[in-house]
Amino acid sequence: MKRIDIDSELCSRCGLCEKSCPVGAITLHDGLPAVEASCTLCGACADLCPEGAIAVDRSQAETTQAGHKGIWVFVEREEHDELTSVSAEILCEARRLSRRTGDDVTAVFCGAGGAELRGSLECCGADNLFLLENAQLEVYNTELYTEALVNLIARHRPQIVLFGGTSTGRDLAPRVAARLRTGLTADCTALDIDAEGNLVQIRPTYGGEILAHIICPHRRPQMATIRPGVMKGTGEAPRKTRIQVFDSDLISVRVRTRILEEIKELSRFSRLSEADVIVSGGKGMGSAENFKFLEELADVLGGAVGASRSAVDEGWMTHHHQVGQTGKTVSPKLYIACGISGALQHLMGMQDSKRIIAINRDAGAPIFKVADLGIVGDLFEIVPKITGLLRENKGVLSSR
Amino acid sequence: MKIIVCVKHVPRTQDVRIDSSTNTLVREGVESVLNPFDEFAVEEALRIRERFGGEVGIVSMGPPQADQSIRSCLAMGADRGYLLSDTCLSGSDTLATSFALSRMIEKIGFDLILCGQETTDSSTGQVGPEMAEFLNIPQVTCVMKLDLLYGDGKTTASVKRETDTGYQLIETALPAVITVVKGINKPREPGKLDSQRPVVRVDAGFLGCQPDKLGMDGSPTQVVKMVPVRHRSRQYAIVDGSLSAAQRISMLMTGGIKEKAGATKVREEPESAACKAADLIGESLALTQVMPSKYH
Repeated sequence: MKRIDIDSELCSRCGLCEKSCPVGAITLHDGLPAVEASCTLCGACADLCPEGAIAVDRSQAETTQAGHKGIWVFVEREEHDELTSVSAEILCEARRLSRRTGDDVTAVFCGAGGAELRGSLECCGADNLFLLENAQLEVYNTELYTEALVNLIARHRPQIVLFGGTSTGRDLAPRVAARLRTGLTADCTALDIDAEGNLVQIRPTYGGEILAHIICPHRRPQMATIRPGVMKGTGEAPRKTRIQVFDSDLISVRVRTRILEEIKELSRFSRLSEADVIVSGGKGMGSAENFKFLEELADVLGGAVGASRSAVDEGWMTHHHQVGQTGKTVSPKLYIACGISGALQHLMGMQDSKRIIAINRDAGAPIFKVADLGIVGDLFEIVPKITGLLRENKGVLSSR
Repeated sequence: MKIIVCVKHVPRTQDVRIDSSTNTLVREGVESVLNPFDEFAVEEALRIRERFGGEVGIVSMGPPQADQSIRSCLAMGADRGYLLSDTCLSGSDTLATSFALSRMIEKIGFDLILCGQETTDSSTGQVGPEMAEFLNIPQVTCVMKLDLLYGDGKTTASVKRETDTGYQLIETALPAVITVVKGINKPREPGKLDSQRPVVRVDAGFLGCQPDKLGMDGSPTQVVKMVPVRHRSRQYAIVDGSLSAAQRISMLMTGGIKEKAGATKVREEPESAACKAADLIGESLALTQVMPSKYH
């Protein structure tokens, strides 16, 4: 079955098509291109051909689905060799989808030290871990990561490739999708499989007023980035994760961007969307220094530190910490609001927290309306006492 | 230095509604504006031009009315405006949009392409990187600081890229696509709109490519369904004219927030208040079996 036509009369034997093919399906014989079965009909060669000698028959594009297998998750690591929460969330979701499609779930990791993730991956139900190990991949670089990942995708032909909606995922996924000429849906909040076996990618659009259901019926892989914190995985039965190491050949990549320095300035206290506990401060904190009381409490609880808009406007905390309508919307197990009066826009960002403790001097503060426990009093007296009590029980807390 | 800024004419998101009988967007009466994130890209381009010379071209793809947004960029000080408008482009997803825009920009010529970090209507942030791939040039997304450097007869960009945990300092060769974050600068107010300044309008023929790369045909993704989100927060939405007078008054009185059932408020000595808090913390984190005895 012919799906791609090369007009040997028009062909000038320039060889550009061979270089343009993202999946390496074109080889030159006496300068004339020959197309192998691994062709995905992406049309990159036809786009580039200066003579217009290549025609792609897209009516056959569906057939490219055949032979694509597996759900891949591009996983990322935090410092201290832990899987990021969003990676774990997507893996659990991939496991759930795999029960419908019968696919294997494969975690893909770029850089060094991925093997240490095995324990967490087994808990999330990953069948495989593909490790792209290469010194050049230690720090995220768009061009190198794209090359490495596209090569791996071309070789193994996954059905689905998912990324976290992180600064890396949202930079990398579109580049990879464009090279493969496939679809990509940004910032999905839910996934499903339709009757034809397509991945249904569900995402809010128009400022969150509307949920769009999107499919990618004729191209593979189907790709999406996933919003962190929304897919709360159900506990998976751990399974054995097989590790395969790939040494990616990146020598031929012309790297035009150089990462001079990578600075991690955000402390663990800033991970609002992932935290089980958030200790937040507002205008009542009085100064940036006073947030140390909240950090101490958050430290004991392994939580994050949030701030109201007025505290951020005062410059006491950065916007990464802001909770509320114009900051992050959070729903931790426990939210401790200190010196926060509870402006409407703040309440809207945290009222879905499972438990709320509010500490404020003003008995009339609106925050008390949503608090399970409201304490009218001086936060500078009370917060350190809570921290002290919890410290006495540190052994219990750290065993969580 | 020829700087191209990609902008989009977007509906004001607060005006977007869905027709519940057809599940399609209601476009009537919805005002469209320049995507707010794009103002930062235009401002950054103008600042580069002010320091290094060159010209700033604004490129947009959209319906004929999109020239309003291009004009407001011209009013900020951009030199030229180009609008790619053709009915065959409707239904483009990010891949088809990026392909068309990259073709268009290639025809116009460029040294640097700037974009806002995303649009307020679809919020994907994908068009910048996808254009960079089609143009085979580097990209840096989420840039919070941008400088140009001259050396060895070449211009490079030195940028600070915001990441989830901090930032990266990156040096990139030009041409490149750079998407800037909100807050990289303070966009100037547009000057007087000059209706005489021409916006160059081209159709898909200008791109010189096969039609199956454009619009719906060139889009691998399809939207199969749109459903309105049932906002629990709807009741908290700003008190507007859609509510009855009584509802508005009650909302103003309560702030729209429902009091939590079982909310307790205590006023007691710091020690005992702290114990109560510690108890609740333990309970919330499922540590009940060990912790309470400790505090009583």
